[in-house]
Amino acid sequence: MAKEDPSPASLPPQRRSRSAAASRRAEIRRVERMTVEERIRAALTMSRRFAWLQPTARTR
Amino acid sequence: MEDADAILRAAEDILHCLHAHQLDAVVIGAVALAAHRYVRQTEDLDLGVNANVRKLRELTDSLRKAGYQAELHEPDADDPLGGVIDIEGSFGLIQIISYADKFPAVIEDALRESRLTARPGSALKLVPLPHLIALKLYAGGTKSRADVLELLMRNPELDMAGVRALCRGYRLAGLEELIIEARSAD
Repeated sequence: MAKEDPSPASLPPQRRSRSAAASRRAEIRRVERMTVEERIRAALTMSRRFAWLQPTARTR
Repeated sequence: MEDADAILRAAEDILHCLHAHQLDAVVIGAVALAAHRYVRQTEDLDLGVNANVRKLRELTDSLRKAGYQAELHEPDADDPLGGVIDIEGSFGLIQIISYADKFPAVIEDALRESRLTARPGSALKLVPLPHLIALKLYAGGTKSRADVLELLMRNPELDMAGVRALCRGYRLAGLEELIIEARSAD
């Protein structure tokens, strides 16, 4: 039976993700292009636009 | 977009009520964060004011007479805020947050230096970014620190010397480590 590595110390050291940073910069550029009013509306309507992310009960 | 219009209209109407009591307000909180490029979900709109408890009581009465469901939460002696009025309706939640007798300078300065409104033609003034950072540092806590970090990362052209001077003037701590973290995240 293979021995399980018991130690979280075996995880690689924490590093910043280059791909996540690039995605973040793209998002920042997108927000920069919006007007102040558009940003405010985006924040106030976010829950409705992403309502489909609400968890649903399992049926079985 | 109907929900956003409803809460903005209600906030503009409530601002008229504040003006009738010789009070002025700046938009703070998550709506101000969005205006300053950190768009995150929010259901409410926060207005920062300087009003003592007597004024807040009078204002709450006026809001109720105007048909709003308003509830005043008075501060205790240790409260870092001067009181909060919750106003609920079909538009959502609007909070009037007073800094009177606690941190009035930030609201006075923000009102004087505000250059942005929530939308064209609106009387809803937005708190300037340096003052929003100061309010977040004053609030403290992990969430507020995370908000400051996001603001710093999303506004790289911000005059940091000006922000430092403002926060130093208000004797607020904790800015420097957030600046370092924001720079390391670039």
